[in-house]
Amino acid sequence: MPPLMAGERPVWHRRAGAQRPEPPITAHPARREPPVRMPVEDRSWAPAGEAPFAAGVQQPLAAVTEFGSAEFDLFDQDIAPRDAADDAFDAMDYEPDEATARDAYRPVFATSRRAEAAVGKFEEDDIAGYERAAAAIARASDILKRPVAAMPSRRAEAAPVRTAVRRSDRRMEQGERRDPAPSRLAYRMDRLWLTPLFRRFMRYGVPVLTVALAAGIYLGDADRRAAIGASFASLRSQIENRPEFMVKLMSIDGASVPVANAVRAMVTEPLPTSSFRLDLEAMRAAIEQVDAVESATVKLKPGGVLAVDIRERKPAVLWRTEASLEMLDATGHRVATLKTRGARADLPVIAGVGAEERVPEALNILAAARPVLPRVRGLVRVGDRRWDLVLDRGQRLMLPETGAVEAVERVMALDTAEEMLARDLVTVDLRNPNRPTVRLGPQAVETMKTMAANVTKVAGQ
Amino acid sequence: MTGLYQAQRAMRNMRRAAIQRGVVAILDVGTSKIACLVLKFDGDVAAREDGLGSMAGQSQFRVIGAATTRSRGVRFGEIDAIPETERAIRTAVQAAQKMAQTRVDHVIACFAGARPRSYGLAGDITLPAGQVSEQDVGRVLAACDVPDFGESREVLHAHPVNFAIDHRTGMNDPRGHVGNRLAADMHLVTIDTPAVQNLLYCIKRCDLELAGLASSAYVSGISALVEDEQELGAASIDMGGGSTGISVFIKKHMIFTDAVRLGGDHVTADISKGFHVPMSVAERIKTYHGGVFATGMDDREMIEIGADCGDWDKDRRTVSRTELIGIIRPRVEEILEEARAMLDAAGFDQLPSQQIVLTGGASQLPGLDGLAARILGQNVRLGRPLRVQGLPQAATGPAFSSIVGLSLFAAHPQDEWWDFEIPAERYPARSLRRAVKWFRDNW
Repeated sequence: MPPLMAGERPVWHRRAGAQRPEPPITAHPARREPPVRMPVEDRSWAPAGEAPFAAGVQQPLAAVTEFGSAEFDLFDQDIAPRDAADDAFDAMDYEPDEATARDAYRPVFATSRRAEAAVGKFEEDDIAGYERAAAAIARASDILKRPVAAMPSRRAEAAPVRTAVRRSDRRMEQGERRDPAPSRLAYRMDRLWLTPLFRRFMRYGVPVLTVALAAGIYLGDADRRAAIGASFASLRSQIENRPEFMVKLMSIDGASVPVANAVRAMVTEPLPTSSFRLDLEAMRAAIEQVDAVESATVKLKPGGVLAVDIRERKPAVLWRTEASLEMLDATGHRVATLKTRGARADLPVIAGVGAEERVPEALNILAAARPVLPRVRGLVRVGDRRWDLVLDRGQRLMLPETGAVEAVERVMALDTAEEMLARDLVTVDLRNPNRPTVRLGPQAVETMKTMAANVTKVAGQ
Repeated sequence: MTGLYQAQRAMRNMRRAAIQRGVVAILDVGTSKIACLVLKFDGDVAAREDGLGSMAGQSQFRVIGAATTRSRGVRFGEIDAIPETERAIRTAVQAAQKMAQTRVDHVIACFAGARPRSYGLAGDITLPAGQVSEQDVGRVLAACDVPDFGESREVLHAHPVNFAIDHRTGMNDPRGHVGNRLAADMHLVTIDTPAVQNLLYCIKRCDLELAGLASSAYVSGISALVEDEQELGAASIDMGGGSTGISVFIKKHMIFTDAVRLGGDHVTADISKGFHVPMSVAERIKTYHGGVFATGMDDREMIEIGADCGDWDKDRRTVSRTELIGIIRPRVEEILEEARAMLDAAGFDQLPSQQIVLTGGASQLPGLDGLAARILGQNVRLGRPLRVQGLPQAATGPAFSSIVGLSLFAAHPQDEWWDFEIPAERYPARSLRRAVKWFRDNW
């Protein structure tokens, strides 16, 4: 507000064209609303030309309802206009000594600060704010009413309180009740909040979106992603390398030395290592790839021991091929290569194309041929069809495709009864079970011829 | 008439949509209070073991939100200050929504004032085929000769009250009957258009859509009269704050309605003037100490009417209860006399049963039934609204009979003229021509 010259009238209204308001019409006392028990601003100092806003006098309704009318500016005037009396006061030569002034002002300033602090917090519709403000103003004005020694001027008395009074207080002072109606905006916001979809969106959608957005922004940077990955990896390796998780030893049970060496060579991970880095299932599968191993279990035992339990394959037959001599187990699976037949003289030999796939059958035949087992040289698979049981002295039992075991048993029975195989036979052909045939050795043929001649002679006599 | 027909039909559709959505607000714009209920429509009445829901399964709704607020800006049941009323409606609707924890978009409203006027209409048609079809009902209702009810009047209700075929009368539902001549009696209620427009404006400003409009006297009769009273003939006198509505029922139809533009607020104003006390104090005195019959005891019962002006003598005044009754009684008598005059004019004394039911906030004055019996006749009782499911205890008093009745009206509106199809020959030819033109332009 620019300072006014002496004698100049203040600008009463901010809005152009507005008239200086008439003094309010005081209602008939009998129709008056109950006066509000609230201290009112002391306007007794106001210039005489102005109508004071008396306590409890109700303003005409048009003046207090908020239709944005021009009259409302009337209540907006916090600062009273200056007039000649004020100028005269200012011109007065009065200088209180410092101590007096301080003592006199102290309570006023203190209370006015409190009042302002309280008022500063309130909002238009905040009733607690009203009450706080009213209480603070009441305290302030109570103190002001007290006689203060050497009160320097009435201006000091009134001014701080005046600044604390706001428009809403004025309205309350004039006996108007607070409007409980929500403003249109508040009403719309309230309705918006009560819309189920919006509510669900605000309650769940917005937090999720916010978090997702924040995470997206944070992880949008490649360096940051890499840093996070690196720190995660280092944390992981720290945990993995703790002594509790280290594997120091490997123990192999149930395996012969060469197999154990082979297995040991298969574990590529150098010990000691972390148990997190060992894939036991893959290790077990790899060990079971070794021909000599039938099954293996791989376990981690307390104390950092990698325990490998191996069941080896038991060689049951020798399989003679053109290139080598292999040991096979009872199922026909290869166990190992043998350099010399003499190394495992206890095992029977099989040979021929497809012999290794019929090992159980061969074993059955050999079991049936147990009585002549010392004489057995081996079994030969013929045409991947049937077996020949080869004995020493070049004897050969030609077995049928089906019922080989029964055929062998028949031969064994004949052998037991007639010592058939001890005779000079080259081949016993059992391929046709209905017509077993025997091929005699050369001497036996001669003997037969001789015997036949003798018989002829005898017959011819 | 067609415009009104369309408007009412649109409101009916809106009401159906609201009920389908499940939530509708009920608003009673009164002179002393504005009440709002939020109804939830859910068809789970059959869920009970005995197959009967509340109110014997007649209501499929539940009150989930209720709020009242002091009415400002309504006088004589009509909206006087629109912004004030709008704010009061907003207050009530917001509080009810808050209680219901849901948002409502459709509102069904009632109000007492706007000078309702009743008309009895009659019309008849010759039946083309033997049997009466629904179209015939629509035609006979359209054939009723509408009186000239003057400028700026709007039809609020148009109930078909009675049907007659040839010489048989007193039918509720003529469909399927056989005859040559179908006649209908219709009860028409008109009100001032500006009052409706103001209410529409207020409701529109509250972002709500109007799904129905009813006369307060009519709906309070629905809720305050029991079934046999409605059947045999009764009058409901809804004594509100600024207006006293009268509705006469027989055979479950309202046949007459009118309003006295006097109410409880006038009693309060009399007390205020008589004792020189503020309106709020007068209202309190009336509520706590009011009455209409003075006894000797009342001479000694002194009432502190205290004021707060700071003048000790004025603030310490007392009056005897007799003095108070002396102020209240003439005004109440005046209201009842006016009501009596209206009932006489309506021919209420011709009805088989002449039950009178007093309801509304102002009917809570002690001794009112005795006074009413002297003026209106012996068959007077005080009426409270029906109990509906979920209604808060605070809203079960007679002051809430119109809003409860409006809830029932929202759930089961009586057939009105616009519920029947408009007969085809009444469609304006111009619209048909426009349709043809549109077809030709676009195809």
